[in-house]
Amino acid sequence: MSPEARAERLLRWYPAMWRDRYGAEFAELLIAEIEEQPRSWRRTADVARSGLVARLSLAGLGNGPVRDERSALGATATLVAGFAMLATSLWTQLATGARVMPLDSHAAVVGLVVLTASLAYLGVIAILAVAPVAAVLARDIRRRGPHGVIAPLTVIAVSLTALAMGGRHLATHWTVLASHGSGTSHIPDGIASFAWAETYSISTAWAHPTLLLSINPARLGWMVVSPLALISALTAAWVLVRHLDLPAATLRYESALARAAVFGMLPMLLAGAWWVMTSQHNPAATYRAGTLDLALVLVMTGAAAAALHSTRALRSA
Amino acid sequence: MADANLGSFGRYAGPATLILSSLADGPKHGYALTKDIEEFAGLRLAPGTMYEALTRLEGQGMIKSLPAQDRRKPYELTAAGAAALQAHLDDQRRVAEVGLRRLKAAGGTA
Repeated sequence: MSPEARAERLLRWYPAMWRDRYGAEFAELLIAEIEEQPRSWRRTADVARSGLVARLSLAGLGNGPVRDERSALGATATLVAGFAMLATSLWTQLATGARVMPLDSHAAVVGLVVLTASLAYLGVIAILAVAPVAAVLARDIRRRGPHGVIAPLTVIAVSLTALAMGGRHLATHWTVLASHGSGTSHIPDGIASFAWAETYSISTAWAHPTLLLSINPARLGWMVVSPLALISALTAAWVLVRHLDLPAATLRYESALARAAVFGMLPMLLAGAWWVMTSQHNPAATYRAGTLDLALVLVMTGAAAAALHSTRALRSA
Repeated sequence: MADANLGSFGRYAGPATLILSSLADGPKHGYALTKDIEEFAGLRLAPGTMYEALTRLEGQGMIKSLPAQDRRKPYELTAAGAAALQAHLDDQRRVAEVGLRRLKAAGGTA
């Protein structure tokens, strides 16, 4: 392989916007380096690391100067979606538990109320965010035909269908909600059990092989398929948005919604952390959060911090 | 950005200092920078690290690119870059002088 071809291959570690600005001159440096020293794993590792840093910076997750508003929006949306998934996992424990036995602490009650309200808030924001993008997509298809959007749309449709059908199937075969206890809950059974099914993969069983192997094969399959379907849907949505020529006004609107979504993460984090931390130190608590819940709160904190950083990039974009 | 300094560069402060020092005697493109730094500092900046520092220096207004020669693009030091380099090297000199003086007082060879 020629030095030019190898330099071109190394350049692929960097995002297109970075390559547009620095690609030609950086390729010249790489070619000169490769001619002087044909093989160097240190150089390859350095370029790979630097390229990934450039990609993170582009999405507002680093401090590099080359940034892209759409990448920052995509990163924020992904972080909020991941955060919401983990928060839903906490919420389902309280929502389904309240049905079986009364919530026995202020932290658990506040946790359920705040998480319910905040998840509904994020749901409304998601609808408001998707609506104008769908309108631009429909206009684009009318003007230019479906070229370039069929594949991502198909992946989104298949992934969401799998999530909906699989979640519904698992939820209707869950026996816990069928046995009414002494508790009461204002959360409809269908919603609570569906949310439980969608977050079934968030489990300590992954850390305990014996427990993992004792799970029903269909449920084990769902634990693998459901996160993959969610990742596929998010990735395809990102490909779709990159394909669209979103007007500046739409980008400003989406940026405002992204900031509003990140704002909504804070009460969820505080309420979730309060319940998890207080119940950890109360052996008598009926709804005692486990180590997994503590890990969820830590990951949620990281996701919220990263999302906040990303929205700072939106303001300066 | 005249008040910019290298303190905000974190782990890129080292490569940034080397690049600014190299550009202090005139504009250079990427490979010329690599060779010059290797000659005066005895270390070779890896290409990815070099361009990470270059993009940050350009973003801070400490260097600016000149029109491309073929596909190579030379960079030159700006007034802000020169001021930041001067301040940074003065700080380093003060630290070096203190360290050398104390070594000497302790009976070292400095």
